[in-house]
Amino acid sequence: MTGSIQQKVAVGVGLVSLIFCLAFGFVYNSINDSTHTRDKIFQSRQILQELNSILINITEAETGQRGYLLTQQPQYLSPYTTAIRQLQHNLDVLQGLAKQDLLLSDQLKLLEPVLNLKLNELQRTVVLNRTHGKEAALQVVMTNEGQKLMDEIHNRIAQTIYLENGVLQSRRQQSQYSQQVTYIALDVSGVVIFFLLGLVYWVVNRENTRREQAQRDLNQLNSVLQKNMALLDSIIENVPGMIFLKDAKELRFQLFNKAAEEVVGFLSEEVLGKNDYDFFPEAQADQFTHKDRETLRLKRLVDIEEEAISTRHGEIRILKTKKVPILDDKGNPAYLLGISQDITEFKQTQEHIEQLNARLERQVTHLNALNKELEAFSYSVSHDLRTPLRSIEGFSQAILESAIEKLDDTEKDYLHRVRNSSQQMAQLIDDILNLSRVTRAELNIEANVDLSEIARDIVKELQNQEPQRQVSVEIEDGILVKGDCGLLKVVLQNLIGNAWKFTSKQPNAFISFENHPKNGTPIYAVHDNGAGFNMAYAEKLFEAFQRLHANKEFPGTGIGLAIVQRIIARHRGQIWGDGDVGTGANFYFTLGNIQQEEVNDDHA
Amino acid sequence: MTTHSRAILLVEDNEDDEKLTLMAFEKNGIANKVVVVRDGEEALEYLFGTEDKPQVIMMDLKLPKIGGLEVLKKIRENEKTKFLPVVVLTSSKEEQDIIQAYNLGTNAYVRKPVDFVHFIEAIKQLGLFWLILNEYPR
Repeated sequence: MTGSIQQKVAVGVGLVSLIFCLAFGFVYNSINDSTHTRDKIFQSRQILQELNSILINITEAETGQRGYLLTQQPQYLSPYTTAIRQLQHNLDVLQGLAKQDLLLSDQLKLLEPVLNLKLNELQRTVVLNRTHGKEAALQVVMTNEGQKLMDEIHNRIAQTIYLENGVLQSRRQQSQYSQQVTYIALDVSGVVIFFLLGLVYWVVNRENTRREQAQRDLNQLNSVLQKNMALLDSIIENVPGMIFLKDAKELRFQLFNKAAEEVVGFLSEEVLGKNDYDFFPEAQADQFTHKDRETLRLKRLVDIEEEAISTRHGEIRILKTKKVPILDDKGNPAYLLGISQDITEFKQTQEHIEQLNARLERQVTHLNALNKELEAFSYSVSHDLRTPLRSIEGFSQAILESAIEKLDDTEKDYLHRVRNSSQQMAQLIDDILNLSRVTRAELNIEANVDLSEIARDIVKELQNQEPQRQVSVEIEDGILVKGDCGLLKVVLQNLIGNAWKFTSKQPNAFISFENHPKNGTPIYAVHDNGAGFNMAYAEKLFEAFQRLHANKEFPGTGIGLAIVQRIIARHRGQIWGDGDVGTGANFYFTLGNIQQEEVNDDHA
Repeated sequence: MTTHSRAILLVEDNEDDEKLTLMAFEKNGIANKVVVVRDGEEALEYLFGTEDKPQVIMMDLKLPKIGGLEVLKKIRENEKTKFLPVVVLTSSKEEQDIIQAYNLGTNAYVRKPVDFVHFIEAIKQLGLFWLILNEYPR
């Protein structure tokens, strides 16, 4: 069964009402019928009563007539006249009843003439008695005509009574039947009504249960909703960003969260219901309002990169704001939502960074200029400083050759010293230029530079230059690194060259080149058992022109390790050394993971 | 050395270097005529002003007026001189100079050693190669 509960109940109640009406109508009708039947029964009884009364009265009248005739006493005439009157009344009543009773009417039509004849006969005898005397009257009585009429009357009335009894019987039966039908109808309609009422009760009850469940669900939903609303409120309140809401019509604040309070310095309860003009300088309020109206007009998000706002404490903060229109069901702006971020510090930092960047750029420009100057300088050095040296050296040699016999030993020694110094200075100039070159040269990074092979080539070359040297050399195989092949060769030339040089006074010279990884990081090491150095001067090892040995003992310019350190630094690695005087030196270096794209920036 | 051997053009602004170079030629018994010019301009004037082409040009890079590289470029651009052997004989060994010189078509690049003994040796080698061993179109 479909349809709403109201429909169901209406149908139920309608059915009950209909059945009730039908039952009521039926019963009403029954009662009506029954009353009618009872009236008819009453009528039948009255008829029977009147008929019996006629029998009695006619007998009374005859008795009175006979008594008068026999006794000639007039007092006997009194019952006679009374009976006649009664009889007349009886007939009147029956005539009245016969109007609605066809059967009675027919019977009366038969009875009345006989009765009238009888009454005439009685009247005649009484009149004869008075006029012609007793005997004349008795003569008439003796004719037996009166008796015959009397029998006729009896017969007629008996027949009428019989017929009327039949009618009465049938009316009684009808009444009984009608009563039974009424009872049955009442019972049936009672049962149906009871059933329907039960059904309606069941439906209503079921609906009620459903409603109670729905109400409980609703309550539960309500409490969840309230909890969610509270959570939402709490989120909005605690979001670390300014959130505010204004009504679309008058732009009055409807919401103002904690972050907004903190930035602006006004409290939510002060702000709500008021607009920008109540708190901010007019120019600012104009600007805010303008943007609000724009957002509401465009019906889309408006992004304000930067806007200044004066706080309660007179401070100016910089905000980055997004304004969003909130539309109602019909698509008309209802609220304006604002989300702002205080970017004051960010802006300051940004400005600071920009200043720093500008300074850096100036410095880079300056450095580039310096670099160019340095290049020009070294170019000039490499040309111009060497030329006079060559003259000094060359002409000293020329004197030594051409005037060899004229010079004494001291003079020759002096000229040799001039030559040696010139050569040493030439070497110094070359080294300085090399140092400058490794600093300036562009790195050309290769993935697999074979240090082992480079080391072996260097040793071979050293051995060629000094074939008499006996040096035990151990080089680990397959040391592959990422870096500039040419510069890494310079590193090993210096480190292995130093080892070669400083083991020159060691009868069992030993040099090795190995990888000693530590925590997964390769550490490349050159060991020797040569002259070594004092660890106290370890820091000076890598400074340019710093020498730990006399030139006479081990010649050199003091540039080699400075060059090595610069190359390692440009490979983002580290270099350090340890050793002891007389036992040898160990040099260790690492190389950073360097990408070709990075290296040349580095170098500007 | 043969008497009909052609000249050596020495382009050198420094008189000391000129002297030392000539001494080195002498020490090595190189008897070719040596034409000395002081700058790039003189060198070009000499080269384009005579039919008598030198056998080899020995030229410094740092020269007054017109630099050595510019002179080299002009020599290579001229049909008459483009095959002349040019040896750059200079003090520096700056990578960029070496590359540029070869780019412009130098035949050799020699750095003058400070040590005079080494310098004499270098001149000896150069003379041997460019004046005796080397062949080039007339």
